[in-house]
Amino acid sequence: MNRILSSKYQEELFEETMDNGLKVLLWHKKGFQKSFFMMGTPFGAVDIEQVDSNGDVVQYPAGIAHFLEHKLFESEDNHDVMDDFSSMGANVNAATSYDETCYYFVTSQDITKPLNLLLDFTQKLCITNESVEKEKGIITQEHQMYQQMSEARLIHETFKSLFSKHPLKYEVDGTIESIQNTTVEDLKCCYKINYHPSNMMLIGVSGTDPEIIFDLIRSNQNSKTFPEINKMKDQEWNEPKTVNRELHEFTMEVNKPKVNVAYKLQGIKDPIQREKMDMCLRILFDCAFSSLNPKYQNWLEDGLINDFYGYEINVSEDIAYCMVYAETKQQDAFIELVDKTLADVLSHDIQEEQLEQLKRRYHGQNIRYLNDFESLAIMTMRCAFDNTDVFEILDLTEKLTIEDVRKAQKYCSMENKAIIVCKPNRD
Amino acid sequence: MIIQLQPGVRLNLIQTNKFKEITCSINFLSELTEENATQRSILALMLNDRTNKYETKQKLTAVLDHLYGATMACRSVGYGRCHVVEIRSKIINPSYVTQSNHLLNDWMDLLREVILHPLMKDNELDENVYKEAKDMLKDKLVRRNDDAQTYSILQAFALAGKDQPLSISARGTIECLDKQTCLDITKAYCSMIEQDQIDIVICGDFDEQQMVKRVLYTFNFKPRTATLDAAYTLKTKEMNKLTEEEKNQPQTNLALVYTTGILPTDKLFPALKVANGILGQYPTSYLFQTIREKHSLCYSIYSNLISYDGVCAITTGIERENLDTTMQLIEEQINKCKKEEYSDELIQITKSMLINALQSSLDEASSLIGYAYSNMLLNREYSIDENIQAVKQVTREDLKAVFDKLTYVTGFVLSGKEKSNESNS
Repeated sequence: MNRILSSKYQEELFEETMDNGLKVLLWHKKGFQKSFFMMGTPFGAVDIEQVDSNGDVVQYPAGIAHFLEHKLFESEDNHDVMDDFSSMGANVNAATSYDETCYYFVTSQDITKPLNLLLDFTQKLCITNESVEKEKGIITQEHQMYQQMSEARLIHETFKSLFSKHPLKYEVDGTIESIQNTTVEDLKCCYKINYHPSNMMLIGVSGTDPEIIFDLIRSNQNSKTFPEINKMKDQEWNEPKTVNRELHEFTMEVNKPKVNVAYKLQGIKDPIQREKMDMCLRILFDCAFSSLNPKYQNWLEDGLINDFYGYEINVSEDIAYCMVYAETKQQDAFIELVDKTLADVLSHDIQEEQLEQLKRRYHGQNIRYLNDFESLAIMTMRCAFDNTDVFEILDLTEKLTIEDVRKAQKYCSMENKAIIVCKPNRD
Repeated sequence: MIIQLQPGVRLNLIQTNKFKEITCSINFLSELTEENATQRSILALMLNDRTNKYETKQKLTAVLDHLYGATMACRSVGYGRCHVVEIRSKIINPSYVTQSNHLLNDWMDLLREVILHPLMKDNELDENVYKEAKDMLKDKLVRRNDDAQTYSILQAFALAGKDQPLSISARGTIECLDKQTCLDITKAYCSMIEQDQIDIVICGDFDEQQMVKRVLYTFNFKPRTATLDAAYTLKTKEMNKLTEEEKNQPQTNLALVYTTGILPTDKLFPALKVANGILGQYPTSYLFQTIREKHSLCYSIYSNLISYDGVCAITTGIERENLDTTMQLIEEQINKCKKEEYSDELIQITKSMLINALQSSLDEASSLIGYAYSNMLLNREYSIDENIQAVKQVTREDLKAVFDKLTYVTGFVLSGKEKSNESNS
């Protein structure tokens, strides 16, 4: 195993790739009793079509990654894996995002049993027709729960407005129809391709001796055989530059309207450039749309915004967007505010002083981030899937210059805009 | 290490080198009344917004950024009969930065500024800051009702806890908010600083002696009397079994309230935690196993302890047509518990989960602070190890005693009108 020591961050990271291709990354947290382990696959909600080396396309129902996440917890004889973790004094859970699915446990007790179990249950799928059918009621209720959350709905409707081809237009758990249409065969096929050890990653954050952990993982993995698989590529969606819907309004049981102003941008292939762009956009948005901008106070006083207000930026490989949202009765004035403020920050250099202030803030945030086992594991996994180095990403912040920010100003086009409004259905 | 700085003012230092940050939590304790909760929730929004020295948001943000993105949060919390305004701030440990000489002193100066020098004019809190906070709280209170789950729990508490603290939300009410003036809030602020019991908890890697000196020098709070007792047991009376309200939403949300009659300082409290774990806290619990796993009626169903009120609440989201079945199944699970139909294995699993959670809290600053503060509230020294031992020693007899006491009070259901198979596109 390979050891990376960072005196700057006072952290120790170990890495090793198993013979079967499973990559393992382990943060050694000396003095801690707690352990967090996470198995992840870069298979998420957007992966509903994959292409093999012959160019043949495999299609899945929307929401399959999430459905599979639910079903992985079933072991032989219909037994629930959660119970086994519980009896080991470990808390297990899983999460599906647009880009990945991960399974994790936390414990402050001995890791031997739960770590073996994590490796075992994610490396074997035990499902039946009956158990798949039964899960549909549960997933449907989960879907309904999100349907009545106005924030979740606003974001989802935004994605539907921005994208016409890319599967971001679907919710993570799919649609009621796609949930109903998911079959055992779909799940098995999808599992076989995307849960092969060579596609997966195991991340640990633990106070336990790394030698012991790696011995355990090696012996677990060496005892198993996996069939050869054909490497699949993600489908390319050729998403148009323009938005799918320029204006979309919908009603819900809310007391005050919510508005989102979203801009569609272009994805960036290179992971380091992508990360840098994301940070520079963040700097621009922090300067323009937060209390760093003296006008922010006026917006509050004029009732254009309140505490339900914020912005989001996402630069991915194939898509990118930024958005500013608020709960406001002054819809038109808010849209104008966003347009004008963004145009302004994109056309003038930000002050050197502001850049330094934000770099100092981000540095502190990065250090504090390393305290949180779960966030650290997720960041490590995403870096590893991108083939980038965690410390290199953390170091990016302090190297940012006005010149980098200027590149972001050029990159952030306001041309493709979508407005999404959530209105109270009582008005 | 707990030090009495003054009568009614305590400092609790948790020295550990595990964390990369130092966290300070300052708690002002008063009685939970609708007016107190409303006034102090406005105050909570005002305090970390602007100060005398940093009279704009921009300036206050700049000083936090100068302290390497230190955080400053202020919130309103309820503990049984009591209301707490908590100011919590985190700062990076000076060992991670080069210019670290004055970092902790500068941080304390900022905390003093936020707590003792809010923006004022002619001995009254600034009208603009007040107005902004009042509007913001109003929006928060209105928006809270948009969330079906939160709304149904609050309604259930309001019904079950009528005329008792359980019915009062720590964030206050819109009715009371509308009656407030800037002068009222100024008076509430003065009373908070001069009369509230104050408990300060600081967790991280620092020199303890220096930290005591720093805190003493920074705040210099006057003595005060501390007489409040947070924990109480909810009294029950005859009530409707279920109150129903309709809303145009896909799901139906259910909240049921029970009394436990057991408080955190009671001998049976560790058994109550195990009992709650058997019934509904975990995925291994009866509620989750039966209503979700066996009958696929819901995505989540949990029971939670509202410890300082002697209450347990069950919440879930279902289809309206399954309401009767769900109610019946919940009752069956409780009866199973009352009849001691749980296995030794389930008791062991539940204990193991509780112990794991207690052990994990040793590795998280926020959990350590929360645990330390609840000990201060209950005026006891009760280590996590003792707590773990107490959970281990819970017997079947203890559990029987707990389930015997569990009594249904009332429930609230917010039922959906939308058909679930309608597509929302």
